[in-house]
Amino acid sequence: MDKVWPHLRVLARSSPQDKYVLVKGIISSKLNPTREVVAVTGDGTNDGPALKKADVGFAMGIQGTDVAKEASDIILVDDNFNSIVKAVMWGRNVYDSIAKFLQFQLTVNVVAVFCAFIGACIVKESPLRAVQMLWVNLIMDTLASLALATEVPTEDLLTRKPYGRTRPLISRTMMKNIIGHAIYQLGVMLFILFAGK
Amino acid sequence: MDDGRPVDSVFKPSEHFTMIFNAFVLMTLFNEINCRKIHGEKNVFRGIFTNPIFYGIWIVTFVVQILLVQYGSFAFACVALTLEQWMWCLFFGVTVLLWNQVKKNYILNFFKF
Repeated sequence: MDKVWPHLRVLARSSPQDKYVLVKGIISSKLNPTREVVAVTGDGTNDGPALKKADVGFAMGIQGTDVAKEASDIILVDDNFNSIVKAVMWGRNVYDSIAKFLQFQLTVNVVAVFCAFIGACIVKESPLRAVQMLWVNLIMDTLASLALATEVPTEDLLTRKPYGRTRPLISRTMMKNIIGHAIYQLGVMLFILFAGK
Repeated sequence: MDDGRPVDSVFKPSEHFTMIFNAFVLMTLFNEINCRKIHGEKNVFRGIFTNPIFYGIWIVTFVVQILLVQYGSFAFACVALTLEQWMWCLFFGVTVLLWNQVKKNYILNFFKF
């Protein structure tokens, strides 16, 4: 199996059973250190096992049988293969939106917590009041999550490489951003706290 | 019995602490723009006007923050700031955008991260 599938492009006159064997073979393949991600499209009842076995199963909305739709993860309501590209784009956009918001939220919270902690240790009270923290954490961050999560998907999303299955949600770049900005903002706040008297 | 709270009414809002709060919020606001890009892109403003919800919320938050500080008084432990103090807070806020570039292009390269 591992000899065949990397070069395989078209499999003609195949039965649904072949489809299932192919999906199973690619998923259990040890050719790459990370497991392959497999997507399958299908419409018939006999495509069910392959759709279920794949990481992502696309079923046809108009032509597809109920069994196929039930076994799939995503249903293409317009029966158009181009919609798969759109689904990839939106999927990546959702992932990125969550990452953007995490980056924002974690920076805010790291700064707020350390500021309150350092303030409590040195000047015996938190520089940020409870109500102010509520405004920042409840209202501002809720609005920010809306703002960052409503970014529309662009074609650029399709040009970058896919994330691996086991890639951490917070990447190295994001970690650098979070820590870098937290240090800077803390620095500014402590500067005002101690130099601003 | 002493309740452990500082006696000379520390909970009274002061200009000093209002400025800390204000600078924090403005830095957070400008960092919101930085956070639009998560792959270390140079231009964080790219495509900002394609999403009205984003800049709409950004402006609304900014306006509410101004109202909070100027008129929030006791409820938000704020006192009204002068224009000069506002400009300082705004300056600290904008430098977050600069810091993002400096950090990306110089500091991280310097330490070979």
